[in-house]
Amino acid sequence: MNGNKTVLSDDVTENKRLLNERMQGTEDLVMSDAFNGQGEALTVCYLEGLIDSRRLEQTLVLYMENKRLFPAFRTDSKLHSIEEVTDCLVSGMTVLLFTEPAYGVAIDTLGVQLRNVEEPPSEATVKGSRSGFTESLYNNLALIRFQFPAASLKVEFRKVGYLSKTTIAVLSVGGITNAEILGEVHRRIGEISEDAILGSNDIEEWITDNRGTMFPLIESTERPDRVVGALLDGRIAVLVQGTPFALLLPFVFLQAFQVSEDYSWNYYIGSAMRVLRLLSGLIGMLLPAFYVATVTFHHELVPTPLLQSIAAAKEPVPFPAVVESTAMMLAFEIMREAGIRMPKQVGQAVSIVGALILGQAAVQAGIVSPIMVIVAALTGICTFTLPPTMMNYVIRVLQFGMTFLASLLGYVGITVGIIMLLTYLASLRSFGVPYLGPVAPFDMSELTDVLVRRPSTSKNRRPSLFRAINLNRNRGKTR
Amino acid sequence: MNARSGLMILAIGVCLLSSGCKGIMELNQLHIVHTVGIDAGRNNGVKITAEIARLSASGQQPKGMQDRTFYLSGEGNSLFEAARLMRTKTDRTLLWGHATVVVISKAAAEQGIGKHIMAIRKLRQFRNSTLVYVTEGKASEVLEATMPNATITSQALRGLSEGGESTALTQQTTLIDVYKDLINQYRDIHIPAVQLLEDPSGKKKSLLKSEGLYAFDNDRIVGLMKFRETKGYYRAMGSLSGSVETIPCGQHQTVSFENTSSNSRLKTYLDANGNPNVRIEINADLNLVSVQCEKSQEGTISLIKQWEEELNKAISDDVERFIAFSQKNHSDLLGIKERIHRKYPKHWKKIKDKWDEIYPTTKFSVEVHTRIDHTNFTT
Repeated sequence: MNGNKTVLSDDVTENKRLLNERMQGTEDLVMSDAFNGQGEALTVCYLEGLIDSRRLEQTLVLYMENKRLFPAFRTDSKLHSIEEVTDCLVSGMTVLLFTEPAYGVAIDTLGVQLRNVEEPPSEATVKGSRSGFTESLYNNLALIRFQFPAASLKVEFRKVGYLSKTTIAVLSVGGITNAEILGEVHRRIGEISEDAILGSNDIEEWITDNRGTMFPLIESTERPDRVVGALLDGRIAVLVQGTPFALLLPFVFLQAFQVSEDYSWNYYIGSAMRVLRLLSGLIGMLLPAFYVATVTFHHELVPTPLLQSIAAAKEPVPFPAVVESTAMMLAFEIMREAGIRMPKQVGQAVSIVGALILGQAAVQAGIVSPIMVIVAALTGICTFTLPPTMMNYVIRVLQFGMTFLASLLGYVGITVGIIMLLTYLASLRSFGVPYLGPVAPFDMSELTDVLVRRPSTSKNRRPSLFRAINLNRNRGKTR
Repeated sequence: MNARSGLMILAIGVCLLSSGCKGIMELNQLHIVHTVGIDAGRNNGVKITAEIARLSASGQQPKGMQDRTFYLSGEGNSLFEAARLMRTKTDRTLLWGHATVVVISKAAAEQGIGKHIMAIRKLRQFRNSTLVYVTEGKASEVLEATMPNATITSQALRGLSEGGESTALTQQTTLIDVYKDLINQYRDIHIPAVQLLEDPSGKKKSLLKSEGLYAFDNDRIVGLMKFRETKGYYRAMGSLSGSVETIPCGQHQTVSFENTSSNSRLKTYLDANGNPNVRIEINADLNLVSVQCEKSQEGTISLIKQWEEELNKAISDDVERFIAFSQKNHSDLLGIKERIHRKYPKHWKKIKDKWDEIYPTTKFSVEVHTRIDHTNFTT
């Protein structure tokens, strides 16, 4: 244990010097000497600003009155080395150093200003739980425990990043989660050799099955209810200190079309919304490609009156359909990106420019046809219906590829594109689970679950896809 | 990236570049042909006229099917040659796939319609659902006719063909129908007629009217079936849905009925001498729609009975007129030939060569049962 570590000495000044040296002489380190009620000398060390001074004061007062209160604090084990002390200091604890015998005691006094629990902005709902994760890991764990107060919920802490030592929590449910997958998660987390973990995406990239793919193989969510739902399906959640996004794994492609809100509505409505999302996913990926293929290769396939309208609208446009389409889609992407990055005060300007210049004026100037504007707008909006933001970025990238293929080979090109895409998706795995499941490998009952939101009373089995140990959801009654 | 994937990308790239973009045609490099007219040309040739939509000028809202049209024509020894030669007069490629109607002039049909239909089929661009019409005069003049609210003639002709459901005077005959009759030879071809009418306002404009059918013997046109023959034909085929039947009632007055349903049963059999006989049984339901004469207050049931008998007579008259026309012109529109072939295959071999003489002497018997469904009498 003491291999490379500097043991605390009995000399107060020496301890201070060692600490200062270890902390690179940082100036926010406060070390002050004091005496307790029994006349013992002690040194209070903490990082200024990182601690809640009122909490520290209360703790110290309590300590002065009664030394035995210490075991009540979270970290009650004694510290014996400078490295342990500094690790505690940087994570917001206050360390009391004693001499003769030389040891330190860490008390949790972390006091960072964090935002409150708010509705998650990236996963808003109309009906359903409105709380979202914050940057605080323990708070997030508390939110999950609050929603799912079960003794079988297991939290395992890991420290990753050799410099940052970020705490991450791996959540599983005993009796449901498959131990093999859980073991694999731990093994992959153990392989992380980065210096600092800045967000959950760092973890995602380290532990994903395939680092070369653009498809998300791990889901991330801001919603505690979604995490609980996933845990009950036998999936595993990974929470990272400092990020409001929890990672859920394994993740399969078709889950991108499911929202936890589906379960808040009547099941007919929920099912209809699921089908609608699937449809908009398809439209979002293929509509511009279909438009380009149709107006350049397959004019016969359009009803005559419609073709007449399209042709009349396209008459003044000087560009080929593929250029027109790519330009409009690109303009849409630029506006979307600007909409996220710009300060809120200039938001109006962008929307006016977007709607007027790109919509109306471009049509009047004869640069794009009005049909193309409709296609671009519909496509853009359709992709936003997919709940995982990552998935709608992927679909928008694919849409450019599909348009390119369509412009070269027409519908044949689109077919080639779809076949290539499906082949590729079938080759992906998320923690050993086939990415295209339950379509391939085919499972009728679970595929129904993808399209239809079953009533709670008849949803009595967990998906077998995630290899849960116990597939039975309902007590007693089985299907 | 290793060499293998690089090679693969190169291969895909070469494939796409060399085969891609083949057959690409932007919409503003195309003329959309809406109607095609086929006329007889000089020296036994063929003249083809295309009605093409003139697309709205820029800055205006697209007008859809209300755009003005212009015409292009070409003449050649064959339909294909004529169509190709049209390209010399136009700046854009012609898109034939959207031709909704093909109008053939009677003069061209007299030379034989088969070669034209085959040529159109071989062009491969036309839809199977393209409608076919035959006109008395020049097909190109039909194309130039303007109907109110339908500047594109194909739209007008499509609309006219739909009227057949309520008048039983025309029908939707498509390219594939004609082609099937031509190839299978189960029955002779019939194609609805379209005629130009002078606009009563006396201006240069002319209207279109679709009434009657042109009957064919093989691929030669033989004659026009008018009002009653056409109705008789649809009755005999059982393909009539709505039509008007009138019977006289007193002096210059009539009772009118609307047909609501009609079906027929055709039976062929050989008599003792081995001559083919045909029996046509027709069942029809009608509604009373107008009574011009005074109706006697009593005996309504017997009156209806009497009307039904008169209707039976009127309808069987129509059918008989059609049969007379058909026998006179050797136009076997009902497909009696095929029915006998199928029912008496052995006997058919004996009479096959003499069929053209046998058909005009075939005995037809017509039996009509009408039923007046609703009289709407309130008293």
